[in-house]
Amino acid sequence: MEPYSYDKSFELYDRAEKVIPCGIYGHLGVGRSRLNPMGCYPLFSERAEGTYIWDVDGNRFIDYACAYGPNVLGYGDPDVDAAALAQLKKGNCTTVVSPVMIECAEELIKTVNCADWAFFAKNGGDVTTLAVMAARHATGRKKIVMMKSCYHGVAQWCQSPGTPGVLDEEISSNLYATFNDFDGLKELVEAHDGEIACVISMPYSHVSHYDNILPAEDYWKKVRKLCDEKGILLIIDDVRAGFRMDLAGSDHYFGIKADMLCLGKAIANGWNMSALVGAARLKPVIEEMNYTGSYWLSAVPFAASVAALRKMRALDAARRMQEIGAKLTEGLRQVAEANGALLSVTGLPSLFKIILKDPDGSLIPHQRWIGEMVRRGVYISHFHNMFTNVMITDEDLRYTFDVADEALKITLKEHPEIRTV
Amino acid sequence: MDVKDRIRERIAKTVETANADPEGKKIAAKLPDGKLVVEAGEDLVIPILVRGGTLTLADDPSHPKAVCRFSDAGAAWAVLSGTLSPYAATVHRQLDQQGLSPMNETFEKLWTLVRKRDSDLREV
Repeated sequence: MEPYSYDKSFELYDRAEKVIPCGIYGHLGVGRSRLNPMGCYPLFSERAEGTYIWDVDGNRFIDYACAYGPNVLGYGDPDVDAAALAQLKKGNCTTVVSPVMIECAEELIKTVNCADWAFFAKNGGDVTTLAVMAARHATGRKKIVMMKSCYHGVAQWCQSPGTPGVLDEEISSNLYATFNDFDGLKELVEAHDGEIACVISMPYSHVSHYDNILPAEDYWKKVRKLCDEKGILLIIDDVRAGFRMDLAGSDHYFGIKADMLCLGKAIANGWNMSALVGAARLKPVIEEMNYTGSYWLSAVPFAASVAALRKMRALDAARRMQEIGAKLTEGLRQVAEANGALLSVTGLPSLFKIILKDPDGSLIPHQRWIGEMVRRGVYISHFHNMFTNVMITDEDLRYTFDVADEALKITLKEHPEIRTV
Repeated sequence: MDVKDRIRERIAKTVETANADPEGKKIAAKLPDGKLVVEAGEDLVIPILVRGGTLTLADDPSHPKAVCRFSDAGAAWAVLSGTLSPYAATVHRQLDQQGLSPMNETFEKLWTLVRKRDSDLREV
């Protein structure tokens, strides 16, 4: 098929670059080689519906990035958006809070296993930060354990040494463990006995650029027990994986109960909100925190979230996304195999990670392959795990496999070294 | 000094900063092991080996983990000297960073540190 071109996108970038740092910044931006090979990805979108986005040049994409997580029921889901727009007519950011906030907390408690209460904010980083502050307040301890190369947002405490603007003092109480290495974690905890407030971790390792790592069978149960024995709070950062593995929480999926669970992204199908939920005994701790934001109690996202949570439960959305993801990843694996290439598929199918392997581990052929897919209408990011949503159809999958095959043949001509046979 | 010599000198300084400077070492610790190749046009190719956060200038550019390819020496010097944003250079295809992104991204932070030191924007 004829590859897309992006003339309008690039014209708009020249305008953006004059008035906005980086032109487009952050995880949707042009930095850190995120959109390389440049020219394969659109820079600006016009609209979105269901599982598709259309860029400003009129090109349509099946979007497996799902806005990097929020799109779980389909862009512009009619039920979620109707609830949001009905609330908008009544009020959104006002001086007095809408009762829909209570409804939203009640829905979360009904849905999420470890939730006895819910505290609302806007972004995932708002609630991971609150969880860590609350753990320190609850335990009177300073140190926190995080996993190496983890991502919990962009606040100073969770950035790595050497990051611009981050002081050593701001991260000097961080201890770093290796995900899935229980013995290493235990050793670290014992070396700092009585000093550690919390362990914060994603439910499994989905570090960008690398294969994802699922926990060993008893890993989480052992971590839970260790935390209980040592008076350490266990925080699961479920911002990315939440509602895609198990509507009751990713901690529930792995057979444990977190003390606090951080939620965002899929929680309101793209309407802007996040939530920290947790155990009843921690509610008084949260009540003592000084923590708020201008838009955190706005009513429209609460209404959207209530509708999204109800619809996800009615559809058994997590199971459905796992099934779609399993078909998708198996099909892509078969395309690679038929072309004599090796595709690694890791993580869970609803938030899968794919890497086209090369002998140098450079990802250069992988980036080429992904780029050629994007310019044929299949939007996949080369660096991040991808997502499924409930609107992806078998026809979308067939189109994806055809594009993957065509793009792989182009890649193999340029990179014959990736052939395994 | 010829622009290509300036680029070679700046890359060598970047390697030195990564290995010896306290702030540079902190940044370089995040570099994955492997080979990074800096290219500026067809005849300026600088391979750099990374092992355990220590950088060494090398000779053989084959089997890179990451490639930082400038369209030409002029674009390379413009980015390295801070007169051209790496973001705009990327979008306008004057800078093409391929391969393991953490390698390119971290090396970019190192050359930015060298530029700031060079222009007295930051105390040594």
